[in-house]
Amino acid sequence: MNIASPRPQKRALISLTPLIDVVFILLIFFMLATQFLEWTALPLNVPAQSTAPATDVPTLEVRLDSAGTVFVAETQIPKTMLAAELMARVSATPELQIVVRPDPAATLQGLVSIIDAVRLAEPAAMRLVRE
Amino acid sequence: MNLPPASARPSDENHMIPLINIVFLLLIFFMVAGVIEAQGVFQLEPPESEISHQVEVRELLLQLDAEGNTALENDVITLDALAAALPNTLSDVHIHIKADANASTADLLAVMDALRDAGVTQVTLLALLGHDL
Repeated sequence: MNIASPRPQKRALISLTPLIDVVFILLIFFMLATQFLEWTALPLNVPAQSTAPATDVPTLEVRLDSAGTVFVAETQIPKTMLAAELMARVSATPELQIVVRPDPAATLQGLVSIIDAVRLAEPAAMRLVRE
Repeated sequence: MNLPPASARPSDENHMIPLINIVFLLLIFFMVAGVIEAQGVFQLEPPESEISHQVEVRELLLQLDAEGNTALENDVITLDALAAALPNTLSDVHIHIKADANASTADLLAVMDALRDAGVTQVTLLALLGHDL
C-alpha cells in the first residue's frame, strides 16, 4: 500500500481570526462600559429627632448664603481661607462642634466645599442644620 | 536570482500575533482597572470633593437630582413614600446619597429629615474626587 504519510511540519493550527473578533468585541464592550470615576464618601450626621443641643458644648456656626458666600460666626470669610480659619479655631478649642447652616437655595457643590474644609479641621463633631 | 516564493499564509498570522498581544493587554487592563456600574435613574453630575475617603460597600442608594426628584435604588419615589419603601431592619443600614451638584441644600436636608424620620442613622453623601488642590 502506498499511504501518504501525514505532513509532519504543518501543525494543526486553529484559525486565529474568530478569536480575534471575539476579543475585539470584548475589548470594545469593556472600553465603553467601564467607568474610571473616583468616588469619595462624605459621612453625614443625621440630626437627632429632638434637636436640643447640649448647652455646655462650644459650637461654631458656619453659614453659607445663597450666593455662595461663607460666614464663620457671622464674619464673612473667603472660601480659600475657610479651612485655615476652622483649623485655627479647632486647635484653640478641641471640643468645638461645628454647625453648618446652608441657605436653602445654595447649591450642593458649595456645601460640599464647606464640608471638606470642616473635615480638614477635624472638629469634635459636625452637623447640618436648616436655616 | 532564484528566491523561494513568499509563503503568504504563515507570515500573515505571524504578523498578527503582536497585535493580538496588545489587544489582549488592553482587554485585561479595562477589565481589571475599570468599574462597570449600572446607569442611574437620573442624569447626575455629582459634586466634587477634595478629601479622599473610602466608600464602603453600599447597602442602599438614594439618588437626588437637580430638580429635587428622589429615587431609591431604581425606583423614582417621593419623600413621603420613602419611609414605607425602606426595609424594616434599619438599625444599621447604611444609605448612600448620590446627588447632583446643582441640587439645592434644602432638598438634601429634606431627604435627610425623611431618612431620620424613617429611623436611618448612617448617611453618606457621595462625591467625585477632584484634584483641584
